[in-house]
Amino acid sequence: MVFTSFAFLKFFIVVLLGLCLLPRRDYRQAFILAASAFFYAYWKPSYLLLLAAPSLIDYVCALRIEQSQSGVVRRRWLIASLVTNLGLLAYFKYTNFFLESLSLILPVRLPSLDIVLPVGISFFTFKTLSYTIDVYRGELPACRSLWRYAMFVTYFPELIAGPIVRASVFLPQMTRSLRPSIQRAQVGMQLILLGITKKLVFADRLSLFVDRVFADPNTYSPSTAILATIAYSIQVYCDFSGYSDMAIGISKIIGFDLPENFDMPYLACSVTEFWRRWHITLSQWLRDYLYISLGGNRRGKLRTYLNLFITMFLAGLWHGAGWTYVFFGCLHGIALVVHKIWREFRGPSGAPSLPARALSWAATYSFVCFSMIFFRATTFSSAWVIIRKVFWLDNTGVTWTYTPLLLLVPLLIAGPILGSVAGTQMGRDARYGGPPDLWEFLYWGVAKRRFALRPHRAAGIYILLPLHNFVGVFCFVSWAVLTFLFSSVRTNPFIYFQF
Amino acid sequence: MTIHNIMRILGDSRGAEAAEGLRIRPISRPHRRCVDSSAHGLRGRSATPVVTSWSLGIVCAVVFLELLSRQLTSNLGSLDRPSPASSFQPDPAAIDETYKVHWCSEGCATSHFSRDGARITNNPILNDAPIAVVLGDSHIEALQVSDSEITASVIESMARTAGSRINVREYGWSAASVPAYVAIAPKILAALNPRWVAVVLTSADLGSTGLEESRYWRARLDSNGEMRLFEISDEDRLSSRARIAASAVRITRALMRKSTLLFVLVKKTQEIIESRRGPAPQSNAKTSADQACTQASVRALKKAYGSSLLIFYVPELHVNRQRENIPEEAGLLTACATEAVRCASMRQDMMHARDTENRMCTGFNSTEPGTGHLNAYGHAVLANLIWRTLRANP
Repeated sequence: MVFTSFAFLKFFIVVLLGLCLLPRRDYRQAFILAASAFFYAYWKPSYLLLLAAPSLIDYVCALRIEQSQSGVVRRRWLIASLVTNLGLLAYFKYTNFFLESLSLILPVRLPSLDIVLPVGISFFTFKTLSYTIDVYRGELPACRSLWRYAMFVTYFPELIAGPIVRASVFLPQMTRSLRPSIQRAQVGMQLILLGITKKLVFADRLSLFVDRVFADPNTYSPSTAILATIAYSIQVYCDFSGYSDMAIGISKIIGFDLPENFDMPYLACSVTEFWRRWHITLSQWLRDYLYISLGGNRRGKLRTYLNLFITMFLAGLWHGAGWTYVFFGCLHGIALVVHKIWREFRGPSGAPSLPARALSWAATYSFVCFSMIFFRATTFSSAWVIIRKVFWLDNTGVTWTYTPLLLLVPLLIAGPILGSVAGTQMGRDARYGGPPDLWEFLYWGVAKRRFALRPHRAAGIYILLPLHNFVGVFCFVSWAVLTFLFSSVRTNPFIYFQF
Repeated sequence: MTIHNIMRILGDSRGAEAAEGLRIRPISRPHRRCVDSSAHGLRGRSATPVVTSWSLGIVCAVVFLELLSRQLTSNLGSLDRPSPASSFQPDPAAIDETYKVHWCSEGCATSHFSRDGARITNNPILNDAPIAVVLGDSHIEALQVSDSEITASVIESMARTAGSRINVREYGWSAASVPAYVAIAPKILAALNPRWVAVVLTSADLGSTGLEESRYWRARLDSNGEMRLFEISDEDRLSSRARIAASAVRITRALMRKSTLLFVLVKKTQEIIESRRGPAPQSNAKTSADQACTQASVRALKKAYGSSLLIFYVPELHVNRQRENIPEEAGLLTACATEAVRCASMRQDMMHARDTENRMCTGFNSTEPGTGHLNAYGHAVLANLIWRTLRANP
């Protein structure tokens, strides 16, 4: 059940009606739990067990960790949780990948197993892992209520493709009434519409172009390959951030605030900055639970570089069971190491000049686009064909200048600029108090929310329309109708569902 | 005005928690304009002004979108376009533009039409010059390309460059097929007395599909294998098009004639519904019945237009060389040879364009190359093929 389907619309209306009609918060929580279970079972009912079993184990492990005073016992319960979660992930996601890889080096071909990858397994595994690790580290008390914990694990808006919500963010919100209000609906509806626009107008329209070119790159010319590479970078961003926006918006209406997942990543001027802005919840998870666990930057320079590389290697593997994904991760690992060495070599310096920033941005964006060739291509050979085209080593093929891409690019440039200006205005506003003049006429307010639990930043900025007055309603209705008219007729599944 | 005030205005007393959750910045400066002043006006009053704002916003948005859609596309439902129904009347004197269509779906183009539905070619009309006719479906209606790029226009240019005086009239109707071309033949011959008539066919026009599922006119084969025509009435079209009650369709159609916004919304909805149904089954002339239909189609066209007839086939040629050999195309060429009709397929020319010039004859920059309608280059290739065929077989 994807957010852009009619089935989900009907499901969500029922959920909202239930939340409005049920008199007590406990009932509403139970109702959301039941709705989440239905949401997951709608895809494959038997896999609901897969969600329930590790959740129960993690729940017990966390309680035992908290109750135990012995470090050894605590560690054993943590290992039990890790083995359960990572074991399931390894079996369902990587078994066939390893069998195929072994077949490459062994003289015999190993048969593939008939395993259906449970949707969202990478996301809910990381979610539950963070819970037990946080309890083990003493940063979070174990959740006493099984129902509340089950609701945290199964909460449907972010169950399938994130954002990866930590228990420390989610569980404290359980004290809320969970009764939809007009104010939350105003914000949520706008985020949902924003997500739908990103998905149906941008991502799905671009997928027509990208899918054709990547399916048969030999057929197309170098300029088409370059455009397809750029188009894919936009597609994957709009697809995933669109999903995140919808998840945040849906959750906002229900009554929970989810963390932001994207912060204008293509404005990044370095690969390090890119990962601070791209899939923020995953980056933070990897940093807090993998990079720091490996030793972070506390064990010397060489070990820091190695830790960075290992983290990105595993990030690549997390994205997909394929060597192209691993290579994608390795590329980013190397880029992060190179950037760290460069920063250390250059030493502390002031704000870079505008040309230097422009150059850094161009280099970063070019690198990200290049790496995404491996992210998108199914094999190294097809990636190599695209690379040959991109670098003009093979200049044959049909030229396809996909005009919707050229029409969408100005909108995509305008969005981050608008966001940046709004962010700047917000900063000014925070100093002087009161609303930014620039936005006063058109905008009701800018919702800015910090979810960071530690001293790291994870803030999202939304420019909200004033839905209680004429201008806001006019803009919202026009936006909704235009989204419908310009949406792609054929919808594709969300890219991150496969992960 | 703060979030709490808005909640009070909207009659929601449970605001505190929600406001905490949102953390929307309170707007508190005294020199607020517009948004805040209007909201101030609401404070303490009923929700009526809010409802008024919402209503006004929705109405203004609809008006804005209606005006915008009129700029972006033509309301084909509101145009009184001639169709190959029984009322069709070709007129050689109809040379001035009567209506135009702005199309921005596959590519973007503005096409102009004369009173009888012929495309304006943008070439000067030569007085007392003989007339030629190009007939076809939406490929020849060619809303996707501008007037000077259509087949008729290119043929006129080539003919005049070669010293041949001719005016070419191009008639195309979406989803029309052989029965329609046969049905209008007497009127075409009587009114225009064409020197030649080029009928452009696609795979959808061949086999039983072309006879039994086309628009305007349909046909069945009688016991002698001859084509028997019957016209599709509006009622028939309505009942086969949708499951919605005919009256509701009529009302919607009437509204669509008035509102371009409604027209595009309905079209978009139809597209979404059709895409959910999946692709239409490909026509396939493998069976002997289909081949008999193709044979009968060619025979009927020959009987209708006589020696002035030429038939041209536009194949689907994909960019990645799939489906290179289509059986119905071979069936058409065989039928043409049997009936001694001048006939040619665009396949060789299209393959040459693709394989040596890296150019596709169908598809646009906004759609996949090799799918959809003929583009400007495709029309030039078709015109060239028609002109070559005419010179080879005058």
